[in-house]
Amino acid sequence: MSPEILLSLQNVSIGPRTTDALHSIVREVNMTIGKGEVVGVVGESGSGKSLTALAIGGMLPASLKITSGNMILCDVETTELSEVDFHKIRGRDISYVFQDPLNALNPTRTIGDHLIDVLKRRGNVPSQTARQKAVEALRSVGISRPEDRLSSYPHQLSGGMRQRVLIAMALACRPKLLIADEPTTALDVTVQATIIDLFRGIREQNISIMFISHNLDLVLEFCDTVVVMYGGRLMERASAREISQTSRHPYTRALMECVPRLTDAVGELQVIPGQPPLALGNIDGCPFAERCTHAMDICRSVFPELVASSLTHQVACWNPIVVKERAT
Amino acid sequence: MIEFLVKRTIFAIFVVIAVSFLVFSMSRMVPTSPALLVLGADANQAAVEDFEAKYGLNKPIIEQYGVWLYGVVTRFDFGVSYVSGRPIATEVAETLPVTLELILVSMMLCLLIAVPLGVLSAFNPGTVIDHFLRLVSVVGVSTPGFWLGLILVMIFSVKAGWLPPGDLPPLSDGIGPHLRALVLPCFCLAIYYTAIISRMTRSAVLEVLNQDYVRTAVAMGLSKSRIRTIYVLKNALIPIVSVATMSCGYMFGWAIVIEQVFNIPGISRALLAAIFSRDYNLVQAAVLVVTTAFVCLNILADVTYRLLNPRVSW
Amino acid sequence: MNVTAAPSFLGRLRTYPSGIVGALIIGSMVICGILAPILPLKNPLALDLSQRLMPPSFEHLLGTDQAGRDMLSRIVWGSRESLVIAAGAVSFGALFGVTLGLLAGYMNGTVLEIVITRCFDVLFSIPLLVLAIALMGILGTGPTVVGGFIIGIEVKLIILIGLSFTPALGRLSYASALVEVKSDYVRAKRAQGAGWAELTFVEILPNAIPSVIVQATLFIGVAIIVESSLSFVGLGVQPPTPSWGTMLADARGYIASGEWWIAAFPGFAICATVIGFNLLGDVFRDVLDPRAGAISSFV
Repeated sequence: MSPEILLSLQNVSIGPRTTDALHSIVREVNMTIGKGEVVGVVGESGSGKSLTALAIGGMLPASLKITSGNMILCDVETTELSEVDFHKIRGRDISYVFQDPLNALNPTRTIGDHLIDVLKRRGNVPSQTARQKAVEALRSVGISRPEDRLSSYPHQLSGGMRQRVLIAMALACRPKLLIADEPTTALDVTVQATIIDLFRGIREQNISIMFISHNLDLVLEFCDTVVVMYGGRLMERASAREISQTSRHPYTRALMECVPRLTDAVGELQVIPGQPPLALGNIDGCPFAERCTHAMDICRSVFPELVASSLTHQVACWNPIVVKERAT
Repeated sequence: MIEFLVKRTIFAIFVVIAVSFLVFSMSRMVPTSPALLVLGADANQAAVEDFEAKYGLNKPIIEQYGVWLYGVVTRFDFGVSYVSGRPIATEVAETLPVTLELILVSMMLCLLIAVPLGVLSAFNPGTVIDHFLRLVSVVGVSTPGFWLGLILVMIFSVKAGWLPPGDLPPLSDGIGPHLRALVLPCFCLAIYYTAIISRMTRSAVLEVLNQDYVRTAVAMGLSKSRIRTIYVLKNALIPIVSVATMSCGYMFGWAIVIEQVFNIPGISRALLAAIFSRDYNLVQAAVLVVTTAFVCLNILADVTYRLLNPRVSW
Repeated sequence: MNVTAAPSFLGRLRTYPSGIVGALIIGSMVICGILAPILPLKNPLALDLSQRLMPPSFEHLLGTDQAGRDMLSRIVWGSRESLVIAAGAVSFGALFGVTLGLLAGYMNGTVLEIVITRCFDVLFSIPLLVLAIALMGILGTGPTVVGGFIIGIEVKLIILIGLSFTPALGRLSYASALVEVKSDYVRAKRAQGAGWAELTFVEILPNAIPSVIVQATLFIGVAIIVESSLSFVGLGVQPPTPSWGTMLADARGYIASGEWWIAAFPGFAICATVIGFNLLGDVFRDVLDPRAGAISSFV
């Protein structure tokens, strides 16, 4: 495997412990994350993106497991890794930032306690040094008066600040891969922008990021590669530029068109008619077929293979949108 | 916090006065004069009137109450027992510490069993311990303490002779016999609350285990023991402390029966004896003392909750 | 997309074996109690000193007590007292408490609400078992005459024990009522002119009932234990009426001499009945009100 690749998911399926790959919730996901690469994973609720993220760190709920495929992190096969071994990876090679900061911090411990806990995880750091590092960590995520903040309790901070603290904690682990699952969804729009700036800063530190969101626009803003998921399946994978200019999967196209732009003529908002599938795991064929304007008969019975249309662009569709390739 | 304490204390005083006035006036409204009950139904009129004058029973109720309350508050003077003639304050001073000791030891026993049981059960759902807890909690809550006392005495005292069937030798007679005599009564008093608190601990821990901040801790790679102690237990046990404190208050009531079964010379048993001997002064005093203790424990429970929970400002 | 119909209440209940066990226990107790006069039991009051203190045998399945009375029949007859008083107390507490609680919730924002909730606070602050004992002692265990009404001991017990359940049930229904009263749907109906009766009984009450039922079932168990404790110390049901508590009080004199059945069986009866109600109540809670906190006894 190329030394530049940090994480590789090969045909990974995730489902209940009692099922096999055919009836899993997430099926045959293929993706890679390189060193320093920012990969955006886009999909609606229920598309399986969060489960994939949890699986990478061995944090799937007890009722689910990886039913098939391989996961390789830093050249180590992690598909069947035990909890004890995953514990060594978490907070060291991988760290997470989750969606809702409101309840993600222990209400009976101060911010300083949280950070020092994480810092001490990496080895025996004397208290004085730990305090200093905690202050630096808070400063680096843009929290003002960090020395005072160390003794605050979570309920004294706003949602945006709590998310910053969580990002600071995730960074304090010095991870190789930061997995962020909808980190800005629960925040106000104005606060979102500042958090995204933070992520841009993280990118410059050469940390790989897996950025999960339902907002394609947001992802296109600062991700290198975009992965589109729907109904537990990988639909399209390409560089951000390719997705925005030459996306080929009907679902991706529909998503692009849903976002209103200031330059658009005045008209009705675009929506994708229908609902995402509820009972994953029992669908043969393409989960998007019901709502797809390009659907053919075969779409409902067989799921398309992933076909490459360029070195970096792969689509899983029987009837992809034909795009005149521009000379690059 | 000060404002909170002041409000609660005023409320508490109001409650205590209301309750003691209720008991006071009820006992004075009984058609038969205490004189007849104490001196006998065929005592002559003069003796009855002397008795009533001696104890101020011929004055209006409010005045009697006022005089009595004044004496209590200023001089700890609860009056004199109709039956024994001794000042009631002495009786209270002799019996209250015994009941307090009984309750404290019972609560310690209860927490020693209930909390670990609940915690282990929550960390290991579906295992033997979990089922054991369910069994204990259902049986413990359904078994009347006094009946358990009778059965245990039959088994451990009469049949086996390991533990005394009753009475409480004072500490001066040696700590060994004293503690041995406490085993059965404390166990019987504690079992009900052990059942309740173990259940409560289990559900509190389970609820915390599902919180986002535990997930954060796991994701940050913190060690399991650290997560369990600092993240889970520290949060889950906050309500338990309050519940335990309040349960001590409720134990005063159940102690009435337990002290009766095991012949423990506590204030609850004295209350019961006073009821049957129509020694209403003692009844009043006991009710006042117990209600005060109860109310104080309630306030203590609230205060500890506020102190332990950083989300509630103080 | 097919949506299966939500299973009915009884249907869901059936999936909990412990609930079935509880229901069976209680059911058989209640039926035996009701049918006691026509069951082939020996006379519970019949003294027969030649038969006193007999251990369990075919003649007397659970033995005889110190007056030669058959234990089995005394236990069955005793269940009537305990169940009636317990059910009565809980019903009284529920009626009183729920009415006040709903009223307080409906009158949200008025002085009445504050008065009622303060009353609940006061009741919560009193050690009611102690007070009940004191009052029972003072009022006496015989019938009491109050303003032309004669109140028997059972009624006194029902009222005093019932009062201890009033604040808890009151607070439960108050909380439910508050949620409903503030809901948009009820406010809209009110604005359309719906009267208090319709609002209370059609909208608010059905929301309060599930949690009240759960708590009331559990309280019946508590009431049985309280009643038997009171009878045990002599402040409850009086002999010769058979009652589990008084039977246990009699048994005290005989634990040292080895007649274990006099103490064991009435206690087992109490245990079994209370376990039955607790199992049932737990199952009700899982089905009706899974988010209910553990409201333990308030006695």
